[in-house]
Amino acid sequence: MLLQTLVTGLAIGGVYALMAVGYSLVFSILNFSNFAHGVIIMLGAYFGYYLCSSLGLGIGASMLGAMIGTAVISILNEKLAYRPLRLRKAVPLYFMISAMGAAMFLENMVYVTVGSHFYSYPSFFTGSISIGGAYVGLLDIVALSISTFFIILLTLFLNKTMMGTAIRAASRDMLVASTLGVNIDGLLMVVFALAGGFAGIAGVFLGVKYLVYPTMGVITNKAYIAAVIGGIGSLPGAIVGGLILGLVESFVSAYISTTLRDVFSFSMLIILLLVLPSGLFGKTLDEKL
Amino acid sequence: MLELNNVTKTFGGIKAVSGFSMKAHPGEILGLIGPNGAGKTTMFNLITGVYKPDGGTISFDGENIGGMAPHHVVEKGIARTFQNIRLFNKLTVLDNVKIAFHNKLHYQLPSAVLGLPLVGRQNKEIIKEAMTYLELVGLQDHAKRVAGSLPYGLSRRLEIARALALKPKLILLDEPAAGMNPEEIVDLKELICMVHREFALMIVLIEHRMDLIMSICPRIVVLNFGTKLAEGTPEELQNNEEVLKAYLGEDYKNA
Amino acid sequence: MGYINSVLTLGCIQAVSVLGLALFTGFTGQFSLGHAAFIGIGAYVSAILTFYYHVPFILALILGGLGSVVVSFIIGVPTLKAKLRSDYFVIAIMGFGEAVRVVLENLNITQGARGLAGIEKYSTLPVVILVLAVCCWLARSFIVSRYGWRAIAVREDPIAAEMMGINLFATKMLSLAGSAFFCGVGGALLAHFLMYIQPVMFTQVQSTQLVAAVVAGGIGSISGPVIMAIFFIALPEMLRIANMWRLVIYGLVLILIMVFRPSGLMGYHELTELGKGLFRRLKKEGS
Repeated sequence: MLLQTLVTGLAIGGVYALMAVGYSLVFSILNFSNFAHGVIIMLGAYFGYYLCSSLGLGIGASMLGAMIGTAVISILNEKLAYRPLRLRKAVPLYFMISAMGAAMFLENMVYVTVGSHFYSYPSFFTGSISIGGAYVGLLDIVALSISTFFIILLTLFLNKTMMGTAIRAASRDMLVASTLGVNIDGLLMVVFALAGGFAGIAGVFLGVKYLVYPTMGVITNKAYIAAVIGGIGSLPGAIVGGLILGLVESFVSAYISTTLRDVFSFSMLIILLLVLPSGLFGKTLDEKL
Repeated sequence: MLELNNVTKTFGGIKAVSGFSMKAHPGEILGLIGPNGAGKTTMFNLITGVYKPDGGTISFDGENIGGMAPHHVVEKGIARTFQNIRLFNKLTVLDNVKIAFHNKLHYQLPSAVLGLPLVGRQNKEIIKEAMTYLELVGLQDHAKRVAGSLPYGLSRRLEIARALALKPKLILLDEPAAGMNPEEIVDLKELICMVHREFALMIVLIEHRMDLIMSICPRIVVLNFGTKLAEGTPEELQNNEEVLKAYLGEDYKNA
Repeated sequence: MGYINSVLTLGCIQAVSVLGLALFTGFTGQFSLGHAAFIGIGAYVSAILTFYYHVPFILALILGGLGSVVVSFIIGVPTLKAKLRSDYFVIAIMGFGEAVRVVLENLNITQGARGLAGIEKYSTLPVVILVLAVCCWLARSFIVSRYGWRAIAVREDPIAAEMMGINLFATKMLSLAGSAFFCGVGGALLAHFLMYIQPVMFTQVQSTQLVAAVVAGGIGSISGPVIMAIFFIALPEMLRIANMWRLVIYGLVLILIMVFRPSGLMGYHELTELGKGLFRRLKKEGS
């Protein structure tokens, strides 16, 4: 029971981390919460669903397809809804409103085109394996390994490549980065592609584990909570925040009550913010005067 | 009297200010100078309550104000301007100054919400008073203009007028001459001296323009790496080896 | 006639709630995705008062508004006092909105998720127009008073506002309470127009519609958001656009406004200025 709960918690935590990374990456550079990210995750689940159930592709190919699809949408989102604001140096409030508009638009586009049906993925990774007497779902293990793999890949990318260095520089100070000759447009394209790609993977996992429906973006609110817990804008924060949230949820559902799960996460968030207003790893945002 | 005693502030393990003490007396214009990053603006932020000191005490007229919320510090009689000018850009020049009187009006929330005539009357009286401050800095003809559209020099003046309208005992000016041409600096110097005379104010002035600071501050404190390097009259500092080495060196000879 | 009448009534009811958010977002510069909760509280408090206790409508209306004010303190005091950054405040108030809905769904007196039916119809068009007019007057008076100055200063530059001796927490909290009051009154009107309320009516979708009207109407304006609120309700009804397309269009409108005209319909201006301008011009031509 304990081990099982632990692995389930880590697995869902890993998926939260994948999603939270998208929020944090964008935040670290543009300094606003991209509320459209959740909807892009939802689209990822739809893309994956169509690829594997209508086209009959395997899970790997479907995931890749979903990643490409969400990366493209994410880039378009930036180019159409944020870039003009960025060029005008608009305040974060305007970015948030634009992001909310994008979320509303995309979510309801799914309603009017696909409808509000619930879809379920074909079964993948249904078995479970026994570790030390406890049965652990195969899907959980796959989810955890793949999340870990991609997060390591991202960390390597950010730390070992030129582009990654440029992104880290821009997250410190975009103005300085641009005066140093970093192409901000190109850089943001990479950032949004990464956030979108991660959204795609997360969307497919959510789809396989639960169901696919237009308001599944609500689950992604929790990824935002995870990002905030970790300290939005911080990559390790997103990962740790995701894992903490996943574990708390999994233990609360297993040992306390499933219905209290979300209440628990929300209370945890609010209490944490009251104690640590910038999350666990967040930069203290003392504004420069 | 403003008194800082052994004040310390760290950011993420880095000491921005350490063991700093200084005194400013009523009616004095005190200069605060030092190289970039010496902790001058941090000092203003500590005095005005934007930051909480990690150690030491800050007292004003015998009362400890260290760590007090900024709006309480203002109530004690301290006003400031900002290095990078913070006006209410979308509002008119007059409205910028009007806001300073928000605590001096007598009507309460119920009459305000109901829009009783007394609210309008009191607001009108305030306009008259606000205009006197605009006249003082020579902005009376710009009263209806949107603050964001003012040229640089006038924005500085408006910020000073807004701070004065709070009727402070002490005013902190953070690099008021930054970005000004020599003519504007002469005007600014006159303005500061006039304000100092008229209101019998205590002024603490951060400035990089040595010509300005040397000519209006009888006493100057030099900051370096968050500690006090020296203190004295302009003449004393000009002959202080430490100061010349750390800061004044080239700068002053050019000026 | 009956149809246009009810569309207009609904539009004016929405305008009362939008007025509330205009105070918080348009004049104080704070963002919220949870104001539907305040509409819900107002609707339930007033409906329970008239339904179970036969309280006069006008009193129920005011108490509905005050009920929301009380609730606004519960969420406002801890979050605004902690100086959460605006993004975090948004998620906190969003979660709070959901929590309010869950509570409404699980109380006996609200008859749970099934909803409360058989509420008297008091919100006729003349009543609603009158309430909207009164609310506009109250909001405008607030804005031009020192309390409004403080709010506007906080919107323009919180740090400079603090250095003007403005208490950030008190100012934001007052705006939140005021906006909760108007949303509560809007909810009370809504309950006594539809004659039937259900917790599911007060979700984030409703909150985003308020934001859409405020943003499209213009930051720092009262008349703009009010006009937009009525327009956003009336236009899709008149054109008989399906509900879902309506939200697609709202989303698109928000992006387009942010990209092309961030000041909205009448950002920082009022309809009355237009009137004054015309008047001045006429006078000039006359002389």
